Amino acid sequence: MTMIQDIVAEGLARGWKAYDGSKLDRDVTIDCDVAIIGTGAGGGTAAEILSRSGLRVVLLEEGPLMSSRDFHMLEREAYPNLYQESAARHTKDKGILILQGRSVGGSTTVNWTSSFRTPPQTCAYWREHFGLAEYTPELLQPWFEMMERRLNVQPWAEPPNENNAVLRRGAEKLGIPTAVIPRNVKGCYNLGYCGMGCPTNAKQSMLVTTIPSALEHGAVLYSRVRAQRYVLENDRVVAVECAALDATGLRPGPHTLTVRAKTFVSAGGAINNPALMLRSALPNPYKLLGTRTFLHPTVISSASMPEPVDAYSGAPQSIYSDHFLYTQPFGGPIGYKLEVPPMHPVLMSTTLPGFGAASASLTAAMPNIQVIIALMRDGFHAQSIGGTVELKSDGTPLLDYPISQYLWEGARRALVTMAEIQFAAGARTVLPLHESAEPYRNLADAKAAIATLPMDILRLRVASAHVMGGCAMGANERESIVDGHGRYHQLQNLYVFDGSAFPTSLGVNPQLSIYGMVARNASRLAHSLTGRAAAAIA
Amino acid sequence: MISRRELIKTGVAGAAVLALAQCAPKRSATASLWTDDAYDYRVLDATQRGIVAAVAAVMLAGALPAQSGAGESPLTLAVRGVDTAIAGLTPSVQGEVRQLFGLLSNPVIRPLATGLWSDWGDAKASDVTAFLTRWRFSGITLFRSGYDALHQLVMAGWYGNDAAWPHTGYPGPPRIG
Repeated sequence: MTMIQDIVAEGLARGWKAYDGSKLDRDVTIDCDVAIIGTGAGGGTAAEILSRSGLRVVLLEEGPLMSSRDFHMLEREAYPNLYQESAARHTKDKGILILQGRSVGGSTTVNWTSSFRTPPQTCAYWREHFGLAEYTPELLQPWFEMMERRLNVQPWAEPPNENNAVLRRGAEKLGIPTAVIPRNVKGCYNLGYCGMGCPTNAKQSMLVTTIPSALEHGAVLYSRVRAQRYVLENDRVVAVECAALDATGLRPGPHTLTVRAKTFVSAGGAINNPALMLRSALPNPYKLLGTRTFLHPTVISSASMPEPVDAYSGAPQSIYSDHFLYTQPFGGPIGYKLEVPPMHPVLMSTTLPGFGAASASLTAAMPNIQVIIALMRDGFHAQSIGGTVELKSDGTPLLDYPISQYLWEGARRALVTMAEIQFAAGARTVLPLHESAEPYRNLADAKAAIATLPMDILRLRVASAHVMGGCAMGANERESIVDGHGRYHQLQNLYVFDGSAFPTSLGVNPQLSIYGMVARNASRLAHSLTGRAAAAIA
Repeated sequence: MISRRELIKTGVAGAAVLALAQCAPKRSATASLWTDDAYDYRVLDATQRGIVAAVAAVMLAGALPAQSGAGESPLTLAVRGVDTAIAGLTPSVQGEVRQLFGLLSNPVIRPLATGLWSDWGDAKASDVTAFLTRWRFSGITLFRSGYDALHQLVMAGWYGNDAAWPHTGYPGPPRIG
């Protein structure tokens, strides 16, 4: 048994100022230079840059602080502990399941490590449509390079697991190019459990990189506290009021935490960021707050392979294809990225259609199941305007995301593509994940069925692990919430540093786009607050 | 599951369903099998446990192993797993789940909404199958979302257990080192 260093336990023993909000025994008020709400890709990156630049930082996180020794590779523990709404967050009409992280490290603690720079085509669209002149691959390159060094982002050098290999093999037979995914790992054990928290600290998530560094530089972390409301005075935020959660982490407990700061950074992720702002009644003169929230709506195709795939084992994502992102221009039919997901018993059984004997026969063949997903690039077309964040009666957020005909058409095309690839790779049967579908024995049958399957919510399985937008950046305050530096248009000292600032979806897994954008904007903020150049963190 | 706007879209019939469901009696007489369980359930009452057991027995048919030895039955483990799964949901979503169980346990409205005329304790597997099939393919999204909620809860509640894995061929998490 190899000893794995427990970075969090060692840091706490060394005196990190990290506190569990559920253990507060009184109301607390603290002061700092910068309060950061959220500890994911945006909050973690900002925390390290700002604290290493000499600023007093307080980090606020709704979920728990956990560490590698708590990560037992069990879905029954990981989903309630590490995901928003126990990994059962849904859109308003229940049509889309949303997977989002909720612990220290945010979604980086549970993501599958895929690390892509923002595509040049996406940057060009933002410059043209949102006036974001500084979003060019050339200007972003040094920030991506810095974060790639910081988080050890490299193309996966090991052979792909069989789940990924099927995608590559099938696509190559059809002349569809694939490539190897860059991953943010160091000394990866190739276990396949990234989605349940990395038990070996190989994944270079915020939990083991930027946040420990920020804490070493004096930052203060409160976990299990929910930011309820920003307090405004004129055009400045002066405090953020938080509920310290109870021991279940689900409900406010008896005590509050109030953080007063000179500057505030919203990094709670898309959905939660606009919800906090709506609860706070922030200026919203053009009623854009929470609108244009994007999901990369994802449809799924399952195949039964003649040989074991063991999709629960090995790096979950190592091969992808962007072919169908770029076979049609922006403004045309929707494009989609092809990847594979890991399969574990709960994820598999809740996602596969049907019940009883039909379901049992599918789950009984788990080792032979191969799965491809198609992530649709939403937000680049008049019929793809995304969803809108609302508040439930208890103040918690709800995303209303109706699926348009434009998206359903893309879903149907993507299901055909995935079936073609799976049969080309030798699948015995292919099952599009739709309640009216069944395992098809050949491509002709699959295509005939897909052509007539009713495209509707709660019939076709639609999921999302990439939530973006809702606090869109742009040059024109009539069309956006924050400027290209992340500053809230109508407020002097509130910044949005995370994926909620993206004005469209990305077309790639979002973490590296967040790291690069936030590294630049947080460095700019550090410079403006201290008068000195920001610390380079790698 | 069920939101008010969803109900409006669903129309008068659906609204009537919910109005009646909200005056559901707290307990029905059908839950005798589940009233004596000494396990400390976090959310499910005896009536709700009876419903979950009836649904899970059908949804997991072919996947639940035969009882072996003296331990808890697989079905009991599944019901407890559903209880744990619901307990981890947000208070707001837990409220929606309570509404769903209110609808399913109301002796007046249950037959209309589900087609199930007998109490859950007496329901035949074929009746439960017919109910689940009716909701799964319903033209009313409210019912499809009810089916999906039951499906997600039962599958997550069962397949999170080690006892579920031999059926699947999943070897469990690897040893590190």
